[in-house]
Amino acid sequence: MISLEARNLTVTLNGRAVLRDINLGFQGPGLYFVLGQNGSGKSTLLRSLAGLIPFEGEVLLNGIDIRKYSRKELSKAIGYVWQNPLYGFFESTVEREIKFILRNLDLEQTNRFEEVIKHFGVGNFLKRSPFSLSGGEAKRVCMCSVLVADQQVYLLDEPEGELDYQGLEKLIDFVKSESKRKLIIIATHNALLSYKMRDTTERIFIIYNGEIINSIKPEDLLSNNSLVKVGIVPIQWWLS
Amino acid sequence: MNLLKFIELQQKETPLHKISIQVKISLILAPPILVSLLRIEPPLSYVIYLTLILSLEVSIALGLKAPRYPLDIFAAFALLFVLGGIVYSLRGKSIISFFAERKFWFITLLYIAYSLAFILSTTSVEQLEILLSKIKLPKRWIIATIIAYNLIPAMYNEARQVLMHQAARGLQLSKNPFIRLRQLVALYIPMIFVSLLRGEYLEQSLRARGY
Ligand SMILES: Nc1ncnc2c1ncn2[C@@H]1O[C@H](COP(=O)(O)OP(=O)(O)OP(=O)(O)O)[C@@H](O)[C@H]1O
Ligand SMILES: [Mg+2]
Repeated sequence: MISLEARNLTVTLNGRAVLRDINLGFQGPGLYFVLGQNGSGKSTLLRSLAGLIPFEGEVLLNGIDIRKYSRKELSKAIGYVWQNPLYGFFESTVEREIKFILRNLDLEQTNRFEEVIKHFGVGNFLKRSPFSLSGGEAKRVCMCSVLVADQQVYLLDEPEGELDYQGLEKLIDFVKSESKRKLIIIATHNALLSYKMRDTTERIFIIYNGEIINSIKPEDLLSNNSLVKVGIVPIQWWLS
Repeated sequence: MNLLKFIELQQKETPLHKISIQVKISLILAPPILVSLLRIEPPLSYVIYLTLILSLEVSIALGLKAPRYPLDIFAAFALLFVLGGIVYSLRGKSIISFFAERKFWFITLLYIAYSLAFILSTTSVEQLEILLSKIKLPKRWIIATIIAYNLIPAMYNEARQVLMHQAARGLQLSKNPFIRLRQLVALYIPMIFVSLLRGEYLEQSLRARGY
């Protein structure tokens, strides 16, 4: 069992309450979605769950306040894959960028390294600068640079962004198989992705204007017609 | 120590932000000009400067609600001064005489630093733009100045983003100042690279928009 829980979570940025009194519980292993329109607070939510920004209220990882963990312990347990890859890169080569977390957390390089590299197909550009990559390539490197550490919780911020057909398939495969033993939370505005993965999804939370306003069962996604009111593109719209 | 705090303060809306930039600049330039025109000598000139420094400190600390900022600026300059003294003493002169001789430097530098911090903290890009167009600077120059003015916060935010995403991957800044310095250098050198790249993107996007 893995659990991540937010209690009365409130985040204020430059005087604006970006998240307001969020109460959420995730039980793993399993896959969850947080759906919301642009600016609704998804990235802010993931960042606070990962203990990267100051917040009021509590975030509990396996029942323990995350503020009690050291930075390294927390990063060993929670893998946060940020939304815009280029914002977090800093190394000279892709290989170094991916190994950064291993070095940093004093983890041995295991066959996990080869696995993720092979799975996300980044083997061909290991020696290139991460800043020279295309959008989708950077996104895949970004995934590897975090998930190579094999954390128990993954927080994926719009992981499907920039990915092509093959990239999406790889992502979905990866999430499906890993969600058998990990707690995975995906934040996105794209209801199609959650629909595509409905069979493996536990629950979909709807975030709007900094608040969790609804929680829906994956099988109800298609029939739920309130999504459009909170700025989420309904699935039917794509097909119409 | 966060000397770049002014970037965050710029976004606030306090009465101090409403003072026009001309008024701020004149208020800050007037005292030194008067002191030299009227040939005011120490100790009176020191008293004047120290009073000005104190009022700038109070405006930043209370007016802008950033009590730590004046302290950080002071600490940075004190450190600089002490380092200067050490360099001086390496050349065989006494450190005490350095401090005694250069105290006016210290006060002047501090005055400049606080004035800059105050003006930067309370002047938005819009105010700057209005001023530059009033003095009839060519449009290209105005745009260039604005880009430069905006680039500092952009780079600052970028550095904070990189730092956060490194924290996500377990980087913990050490409490030991020397190790911390090494860690930050290891971060800032690649950051220069990143900002060059950003510069390239920026140039492209500017050209695409007809600059
Ligand atoms: N540093 C900041 N200061 C002030 N407001 C901020 C800051 N960072 C984010 N915000 C605001 O907080 C709100 C939530 O931002 P967040 O990045 O969490 O949205 P999001 O749901 O991830 O959006 P997107 O789908 O576009 O990624 C937005 O309105 C954003 O403008
Ligand atoms: Mg986001």
